[in-house]
Amino acid sequence: MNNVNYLVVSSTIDYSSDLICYELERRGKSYLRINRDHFAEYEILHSLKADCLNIKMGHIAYKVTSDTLKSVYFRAPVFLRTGKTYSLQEQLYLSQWSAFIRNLIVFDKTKWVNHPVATYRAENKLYQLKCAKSLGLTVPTTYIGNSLPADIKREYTYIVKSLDTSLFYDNGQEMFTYSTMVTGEELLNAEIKSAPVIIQDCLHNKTDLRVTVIADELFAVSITKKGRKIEGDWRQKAKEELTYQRVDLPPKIHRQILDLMRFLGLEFGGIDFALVDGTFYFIEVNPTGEWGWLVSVSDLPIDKAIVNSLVMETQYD
Amino acid sequence: MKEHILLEKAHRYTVPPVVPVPRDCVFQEKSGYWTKCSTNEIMVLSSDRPLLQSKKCDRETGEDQKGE
Repeated sequence: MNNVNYLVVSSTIDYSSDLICYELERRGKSYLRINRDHFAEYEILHSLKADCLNIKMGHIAYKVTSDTLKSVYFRAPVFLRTGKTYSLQEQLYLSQWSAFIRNLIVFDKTKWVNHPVATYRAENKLYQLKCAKSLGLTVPTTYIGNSLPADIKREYTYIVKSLDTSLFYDNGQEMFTYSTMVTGEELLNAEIKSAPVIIQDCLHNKTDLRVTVIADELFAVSITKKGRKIEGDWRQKAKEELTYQRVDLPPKIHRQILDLMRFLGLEFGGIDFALVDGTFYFIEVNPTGEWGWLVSVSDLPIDKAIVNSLVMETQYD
Repeated sequence: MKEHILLEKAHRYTVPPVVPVPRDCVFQEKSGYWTKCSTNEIMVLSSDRPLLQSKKCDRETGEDQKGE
């Protein structure tokens, strides 16, 4: 029976978790990765009396207990969203295993990166904007709802975005809505009554920044298109045209970011900023933000920093 | 009826019915990572590793598949 000290909750196609497991293995740690798409292949049994989770993968048995589990890398949070048509069997699998993952918070003595409760709370965009603002960070003028503020100007440009990830399915196709630049004229003629949206002042001449935070460590990069600032959502640009450059943040912003992370109870976060004329505008924090691409394109040791946080030791070689 | 602005502005794309498994790779349950069948290399450390790219249209990440 293998006692598990570090648990990685993920899915098999999440390659960033590969980097975490490799680093844990390299450091000789006793870890286990469970993948939500493979759950039916495992034999899983939790005993309330023993406060013990037994997992059998093939012929190998693992034991997870509150006493031996030191940390959890919670990579695969699950929110139930509707839209895609699932078979009965798929609905059963998704709903019940999602609940199972949520119930892993029974391991309440262990360190979580991030704790599910903190993740779910921080995912709320209005809430995180309010928290950021209250801690002194500058945020764009923001409205959320299904009606427009009275002072929308036809000739101005605004940003419209969704309150939650807007991933939809229609006629065999997937749909995704980026942060979108629209004119006031468009907004005034748009249909927003049936569902709320976020409306923000458009920040022109901005430089996009992604700040990846793990515990007290910050990895900040600017994102430009061949060295030039990007109008609108940088994610819509061709990947090969994007340039990522490591940047230093002013000490005050650095401190405010850490204050925000602590306030939200997050150990990890991918934070988006827009830099305009020396002002850092907080855009959002992604508690489950992707980071593997930054290891690839910028050689940032984010994987090692996450493992440092999980095992509570500092090692970068 | 006019379409909601989030639907009107949505990017549409066709996704494969099954999430593709990386070519020439096998997932090592015990190790928790993919290796290449032909060379035994760890996939994410190999020279032709898949890009661990952000974001939205990439199916490999967790960031925007929270509902799946």
